[in-house]
Amino acid sequence: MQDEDQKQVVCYKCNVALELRKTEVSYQGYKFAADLHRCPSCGQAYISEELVKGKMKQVEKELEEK
Amino acid sequence: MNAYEIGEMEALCIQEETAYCTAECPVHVNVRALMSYVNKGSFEKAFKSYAKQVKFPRIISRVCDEPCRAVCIRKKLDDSLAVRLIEKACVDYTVVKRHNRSGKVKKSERIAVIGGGLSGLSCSVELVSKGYDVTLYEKTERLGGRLWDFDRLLLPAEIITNELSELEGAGVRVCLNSAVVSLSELDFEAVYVGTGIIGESFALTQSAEKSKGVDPVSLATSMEGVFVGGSMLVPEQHYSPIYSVSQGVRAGKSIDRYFRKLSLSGEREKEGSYQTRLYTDIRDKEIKLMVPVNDSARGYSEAGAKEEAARCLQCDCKICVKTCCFLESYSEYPKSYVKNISKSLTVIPTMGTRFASRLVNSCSVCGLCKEVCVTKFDMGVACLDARKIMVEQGDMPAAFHDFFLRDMMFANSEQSFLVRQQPGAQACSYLFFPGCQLSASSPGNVEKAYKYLMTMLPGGVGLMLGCCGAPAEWSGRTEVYKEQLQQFQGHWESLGRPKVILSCPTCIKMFKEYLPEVPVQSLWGLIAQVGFSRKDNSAKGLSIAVYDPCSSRYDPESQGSVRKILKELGCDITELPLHGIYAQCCSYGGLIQAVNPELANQITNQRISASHLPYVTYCINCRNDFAAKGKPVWYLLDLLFGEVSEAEANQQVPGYTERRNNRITLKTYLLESIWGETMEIAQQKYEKIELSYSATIQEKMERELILLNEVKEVIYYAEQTGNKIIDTANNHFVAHLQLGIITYWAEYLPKGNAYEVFNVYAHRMQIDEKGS
Repeated sequence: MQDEDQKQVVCYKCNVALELRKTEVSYQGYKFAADLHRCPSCGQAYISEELVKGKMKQVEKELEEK
Repeated sequence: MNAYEIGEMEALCIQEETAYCTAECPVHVNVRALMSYVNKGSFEKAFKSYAKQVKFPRIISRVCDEPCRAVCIRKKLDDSLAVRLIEKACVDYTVVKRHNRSGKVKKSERIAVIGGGLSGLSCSVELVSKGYDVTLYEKTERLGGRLWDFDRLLLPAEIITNELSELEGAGVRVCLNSAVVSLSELDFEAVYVGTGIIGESFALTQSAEKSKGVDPVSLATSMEGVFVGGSMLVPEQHYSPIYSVSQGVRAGKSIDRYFRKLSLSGEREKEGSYQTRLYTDIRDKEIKLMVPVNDSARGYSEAGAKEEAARCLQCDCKICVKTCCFLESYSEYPKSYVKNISKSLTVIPTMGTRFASRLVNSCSVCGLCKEVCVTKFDMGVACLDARKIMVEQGDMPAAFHDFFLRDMMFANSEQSFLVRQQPGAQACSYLFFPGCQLSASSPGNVEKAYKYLMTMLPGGVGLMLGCCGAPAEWSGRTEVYKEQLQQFQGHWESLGRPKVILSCPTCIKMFKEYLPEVPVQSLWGLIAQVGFSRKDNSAKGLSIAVYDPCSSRYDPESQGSVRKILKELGCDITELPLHGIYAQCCSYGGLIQAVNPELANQITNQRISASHLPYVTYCINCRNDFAAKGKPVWYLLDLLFGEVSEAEANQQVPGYTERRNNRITLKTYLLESIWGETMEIAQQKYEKIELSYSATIQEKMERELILLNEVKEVIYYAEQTGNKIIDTANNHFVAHLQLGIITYWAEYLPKGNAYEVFNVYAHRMQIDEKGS
């Protein structure tokens, strides 16, 4: 799972651009890594609505059927 | 029920039962398949399937006495299907007629078949196909027996000769002109006697009572290894060619069992004609008369046969599937659903997909399937029990029911819950419990109904605002709904066990089922009984359709009372196609909204199009669901206490946030106006911030089950901590916060003392932001 959103997002606190990083996500007892926008300094994440409604929703649905 | 017992329910579903015609046919020709092949023009495939069952397709298709036609349910509509004529067309229009007849003798046991009529021929074919060594004795110079008595136009001699000439190729040793005088002269391990109505019976049967001494199931006689069958066992007037074939086949199977030392008569109920359990509803079937035949000996043309085959109803049941959007949406039927559910509940999750998880949680649990089913199969019970097992096993996705469970807890929280005796009353003879959703969606009606009850009833009427626990029950959380009901019971006891007046059909159902010691009274029954004081004629002549909520299915008192009230109001009532015991769920039941929103949407759309008339209902959830889609619908109390205006029927449905606020406001307002008490509303800091947003965002929040307070909490948190990001494309802030199991996102900007919200969304997956 990777956030394909190309827009420039900047951490308000650290004033640095977020970059794609392997991040642990979990649902229904399953854990796996996803490439999400993270602040390289404080770790704050950003997930675009596109990812939420697309791939993430699909994975959620699949895990709910597990 | 446990997972195994849920699976066992499959036996109750009759969808896979044999069609009437096939069950009646003594050799079980698969008529449905045959008709479907012919309809598509696949005469060869149809022929193959037919030949396998009847053994002598060219002959049988000309002389079959068609017991199938007597049970064909088309007969109730117009004419039975012309099965034999279509079978004949399969023979006529199949060029290469291949039979699956092996001519290989693989077994050492030798069998003598006496009589070359249909039963003896069939027995021989059955036995050689099983690899036995078969010798057929016929006393005349030709095979066929009574077949030679048929009209030659119907059954030409060459058809008989050609079809029967294949017998030797199939491996049967045929001895013509060979009359067997005594069975003792034969040296065989088994014998079949099929010598026909006037043939030699070797004293195996008695002429007065032909079948005496013969086991009707195995056709075994008292003589070891000797079997009899065919028309020698039936009176002349009952002669049936297809019966003779079936007798020969039956004897062949018995002889096989005899050699294999198996039970001769065990588990043979479905050989020969039997009664099917199938039920096919023909109420919606179109009348189509039988395609005429010009020359009955020639039969149908290809086109004629195809047209006639198209009349086959392809009998099946699926009556529940046709009645329920949910059952239909998974493309199968209850038998396969419960098998899948049972398997799903017992599979180790990592080993495979629990494909039934969403199915189990997409049922409204309304019980309509049970009412339309001839065997009373209740898919709701299977789904509800499966949910309980999922919860017990820790397999229930929390997000499926989270929103509505939180709503239930809110309704029973300090902010919304209220219990009071009638002010000034010495006792509490009654307790009005309007239910959580009426207080949320139509608080004005709670006040009006309570005041009405206080005026009309003696002995004091108390009030309790809260939730009965139905959402917990629907979600499979037994402990949680029991807890809600226990809380109710505690308050009820302390009020002196008053009679409880309920307006919500689901509350009525819950109380009757789980709190049988609590005396309950439907508000509608009570109003119909004590009357109401509407003086104007504003509802007179109003044309409406009554929408019975699904939970009212077994509550004829409420259903009848509602109609009585509407008649007294002067309304012109139209009944919907499905009402009363066949009431349908609006889609709120079973909490399917968060599990299967597309299905919920489809269900509601279907419900509102059942009639062009505005609806009147007595479940506020039904009203909410329908009105949200623009259907004019009155909640019954609106007709009693409201203006009875069109505007009222089209009144907007409050959103989820507004519904929560309504509960708080109702409690505060009633406490102050009726009991003279003031309530401090403790607000969280985040609740105090002001947000502005468009109608589109408002709609999105409703659709995605996002509450305003949740958005406020995200923004408040972001502003307090600075944990937000800037989208450089528009300089909007984007912030998120996980509340419970859901993570909410808000895109916003400060605007004066408030915040303007540009977008909201939420997900169920959790992000670990601590890791690098």
